[in-house]
Amino acid sequence: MTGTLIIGLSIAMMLFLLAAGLTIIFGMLGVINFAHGVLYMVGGFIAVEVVNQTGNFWLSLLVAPLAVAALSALLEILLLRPLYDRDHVEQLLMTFGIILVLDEVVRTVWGLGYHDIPLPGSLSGAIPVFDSDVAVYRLFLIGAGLIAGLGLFALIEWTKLGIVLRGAMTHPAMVRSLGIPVSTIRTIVFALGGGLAALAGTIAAPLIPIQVGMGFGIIVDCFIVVILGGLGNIRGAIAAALLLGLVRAFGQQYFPEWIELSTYLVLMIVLLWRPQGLFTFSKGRKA
Amino acid sequence: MLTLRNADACYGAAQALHQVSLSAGPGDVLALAGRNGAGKSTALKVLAGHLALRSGTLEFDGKTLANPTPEMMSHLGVAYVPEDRQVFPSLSVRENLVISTVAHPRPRGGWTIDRVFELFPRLKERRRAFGQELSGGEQQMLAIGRALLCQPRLLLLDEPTEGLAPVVVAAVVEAIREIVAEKAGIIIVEQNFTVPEALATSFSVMDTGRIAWNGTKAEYMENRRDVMSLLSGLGSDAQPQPT
Ligand SMILES: Nc1ncnc2c1ncn2[C@@H]1O[C@H](COP(=O)(O)OP(=O)(O)O)[C@@H](O)[C@H]1O
Ligand SMILES: [Mg+2]
Repeated sequence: MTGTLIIGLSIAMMLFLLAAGLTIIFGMLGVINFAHGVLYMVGGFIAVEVVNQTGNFWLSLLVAPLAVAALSALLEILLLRPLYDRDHVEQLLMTFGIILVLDEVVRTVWGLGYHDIPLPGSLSGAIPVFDSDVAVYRLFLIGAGLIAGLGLFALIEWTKLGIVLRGAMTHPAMVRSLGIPVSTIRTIVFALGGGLAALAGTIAAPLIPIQVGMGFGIIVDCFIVVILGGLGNIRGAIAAALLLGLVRAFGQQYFPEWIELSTYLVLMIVLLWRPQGLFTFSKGRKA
Repeated sequence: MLTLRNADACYGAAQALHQVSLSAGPGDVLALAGRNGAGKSTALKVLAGHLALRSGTLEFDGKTLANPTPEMMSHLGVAYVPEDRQVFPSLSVRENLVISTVAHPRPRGGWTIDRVFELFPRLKERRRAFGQELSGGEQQMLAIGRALLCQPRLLLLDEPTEGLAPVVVAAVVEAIREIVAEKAGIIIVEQNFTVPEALATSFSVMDTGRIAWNGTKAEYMENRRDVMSLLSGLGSDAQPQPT
């Protein structure tokens, strides 16, 4: 029971790190970024490379997100910025293009096989929590996700950058009239989202095989989280990630054959019945 | 300070401004009136950098601005209160003011959040409320306060008293007096000259995208009845003398 709960929470954290980026990118740029899973994958590969070169997992936790944030900024400036005034379909196609190109680059550099990195020594092993033995790394994952999530929350709620972000989500033209270059804000948001995705990829690297295509499965779950939470709604994404993470963990334990089907059913029902998301309330505010 | 010369501007294929010229310097209050659809808001959008010119020039302190953007106009000291106010719904009243200080950290013109709260005490009471919870009058005060925190040298007000209760109109007029006392310029757009009459130093009337009449305060006072009838659409036969 406790073990399943911990696994559910750790899945929820991964989903949240990815979905938070997706949802703020949508809120700010109006772009549904299909390439988000690829940024997660690139983060994983960079982490593998850093650990292979230096043997230092902690360094990879710093390098991979920063490198992918820089890459994301470049992608936004070069490929997305020229398309904002065009049809949404063109932006979608561009993010698809980014997937194809980055997949190909990764395949050329690291090959098609899978890579893995060892659990960092200080985080291996298990400790007893109530009735179960729980892998220390799972707890670390939850902690890291919590810290990143709280950091993001603090950034959005309590800093001037956060005020600008929330303002620009609804009235970008007015933000410009206050002297703030919204195009730069968009780049920052895309870089932030990419960095969070890469952080998720790095944290996942000791647990799952790092390989081309690894971003695909998880990104589908992330879209579910974003839709359940309400597009552009970060608090909703937190709630939806928790819901889906726990459903995944407990479903895997108790009714594995139904889990996929029921998840997608819920998604379809929400899309038809509450397209604004389960966690968006007309009176409440979006954050 | 800010001069628009022979401006043409379009929305797609539809031309909304024809050869419009306007100008305001420090301490000037230009009242711009005209019927609905005359092009007043469009003229302000051009001055705020939100709409590009098809032809004509926009000059600031004698220099022609080649590609004015809203950011650039803000940094030059042109602050904009749009017709629909554009209060940020998911920011608190306080945050709606703080956001102006991001790009304007120095109180060059001496406007601080506390001073805005002194000017509009109602905003102070409501400082924790979100933009979406405000009444129309509160939104208008907030939009003006937000513009003041950009430390304006020229303030563009698009129908600031539209739909407001008389007490709120009085508060807005009081605010305008205080702003003028700081030697900032103001361009105030209204459907008629009722509210701006006592404040304005010059007057312009727009009709179908053109300047139909303009004059100084003295000229306006002399031709007041003609200008009024021009505004109410009765003056097509008896045009006042353009100057
Ligand atoms: N965003 C827009 N797109 C197309 N046409 C517009 C737009 N805004 C205004 N117009 C048109 O431009 C003309 C002038 O409008 P506007 O400047 O808003 O007038 P006013 O502020 O004097 O009422 C009107 O004919 C109006 O229909
Ligand atoms: Mg108007």
